[in-house]
Amino acid sequence: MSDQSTTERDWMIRAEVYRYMIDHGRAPSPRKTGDIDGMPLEAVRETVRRLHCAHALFLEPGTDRIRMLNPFSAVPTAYRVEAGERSYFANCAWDMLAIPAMLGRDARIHARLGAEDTSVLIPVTDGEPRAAREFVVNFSVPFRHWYDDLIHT
Amino acid sequence: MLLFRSEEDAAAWAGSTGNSRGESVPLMTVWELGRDWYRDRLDPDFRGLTRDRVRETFKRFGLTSDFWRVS
Repeated sequence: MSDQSTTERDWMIRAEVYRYMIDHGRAPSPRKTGDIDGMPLEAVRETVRRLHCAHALFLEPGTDRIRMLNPFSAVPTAYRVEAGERSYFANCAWDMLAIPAMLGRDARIHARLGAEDTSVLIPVTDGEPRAAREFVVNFSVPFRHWYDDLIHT
Repeated sequence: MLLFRSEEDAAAWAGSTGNSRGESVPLMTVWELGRDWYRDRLDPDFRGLTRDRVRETFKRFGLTSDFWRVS
């Protein structure tokens, strides 16, 4: 949820970080983020920590590296979305759908089924995913506990 | 949040792995939910989701059980 300790500059940097992810298919390193905005590394670290506390992005535990820019994942996952010339990883089965929905682009979603080795391809064309009507996304964790351990959620 | 071919497959997975069953939501509902949830995420004026907005969004998509309660 929203956190009052963030600054306007933090949110501006966050927008730049999202733009970098969309353009490159990966999150910027702390050093790269500093290059984007001409900030010293320590200031970048403080910014991403505040944004993490505000749930505006999520850091790899114990580090200042971005792990999640929801719906994007900065690390490889079982959910990959090809949209235009870019390829993105999503955090989960919900986020794999949210990436093309948010970008407003057609896409090809490669998704693992359950915890199996089997993958399926879900095309998104003309603004809709083309998947069997019976497909479901299973939410195991109640909403009030999503942020207890977001990686597990 | 995992993808399954059907609600039955999700139930079987939970039973065989010991994971919480939770709730299964049709893929098309999740598509619309994602579109709503992330609709302004790239807007420079986005300042995070409020509890009220989350509550209203879940309600709009029929996610009203205790599982979706926003504390």
